[in-house]
Amino acid sequence: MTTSRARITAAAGCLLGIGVAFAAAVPASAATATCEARNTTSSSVHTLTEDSSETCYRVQARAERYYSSGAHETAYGPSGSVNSTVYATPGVSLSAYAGRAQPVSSGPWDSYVSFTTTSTTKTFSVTV
Amino acid sequence: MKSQSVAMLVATLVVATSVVGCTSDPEPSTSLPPADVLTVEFAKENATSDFEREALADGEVSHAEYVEANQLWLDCMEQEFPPGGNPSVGVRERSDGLIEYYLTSVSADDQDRFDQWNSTCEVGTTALVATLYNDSVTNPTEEPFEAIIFACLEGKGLIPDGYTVEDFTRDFNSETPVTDPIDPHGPETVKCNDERAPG
Repeated sequence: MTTSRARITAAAGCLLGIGVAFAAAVPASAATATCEARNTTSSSVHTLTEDSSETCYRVQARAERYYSSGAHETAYGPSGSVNSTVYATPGVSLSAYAGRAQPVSSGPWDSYVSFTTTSTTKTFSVTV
Repeated sequence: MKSQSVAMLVATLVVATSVVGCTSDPEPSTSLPPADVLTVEFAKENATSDFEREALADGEVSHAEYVEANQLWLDCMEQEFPPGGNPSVGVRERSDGLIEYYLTSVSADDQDRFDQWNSTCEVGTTALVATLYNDSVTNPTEEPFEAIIFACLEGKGLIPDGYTVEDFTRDFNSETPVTDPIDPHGPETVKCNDERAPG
């Protein structure tokens, strides 16, 4: 991981960081923070990786798992500051690949965005 | 969402927002800057629960503390998604020792409800402790993902002479597709990522 800061651009307002109680890190003036993450995805592994030049604070991969029994679930990869991965297991298929990022510690997670098996860079943006 | 659960969520959000609410102080002198890199020191400064403070006191997160963080998170989530209910939530330890969450539904409404509760329940439980532990397992040397994949490709003899990890990192993150001298997102990269799968 690089130690570069996520880009922060000025905006108006105040913090609405519901659920992300990094109290001491709250900036007084609001800003829009962005970072980029990229996926590396196959039928059996879905990984979301922060762009090393635009460091995200945390990323999280999500995918839907379908079992041969007909059962299904939404699987959430362990969030990490470098990458997050959801794996399939034998007899299980993955679909609906998605991921989200938290650009800086003082802000909330951005919403999930969809990915495909083609690698794509997505920009995540939150107001902090 | 049941009314009792709504009340709990609202109460919890009030607590959470009171911690991170607006301030008229332009630059509180005691504030740490927003961080995009989670360190133990940052986590200790920003711990919001006794559990986090105790888990972080010795400067590292043990597997037992990681498991406890996830159990506390699950205890919170089960207020909205009771065990045996439909849908329900759970945690599952993978063979690499990391814990993933699952929701026994793929409906967008349920996923949204999960996210709302997760945003509250992770505070004081997994937000700091689990992320630190995940990083220590998946990236103990803080090596960039690109470097890990580059090493895998190099080990397979797929890296052209003179093509460096810096070149690969640049091409991997390029806004426009790169295929020369190699495609950094080609099948071999996907295969290297697949090979990172636990177990």
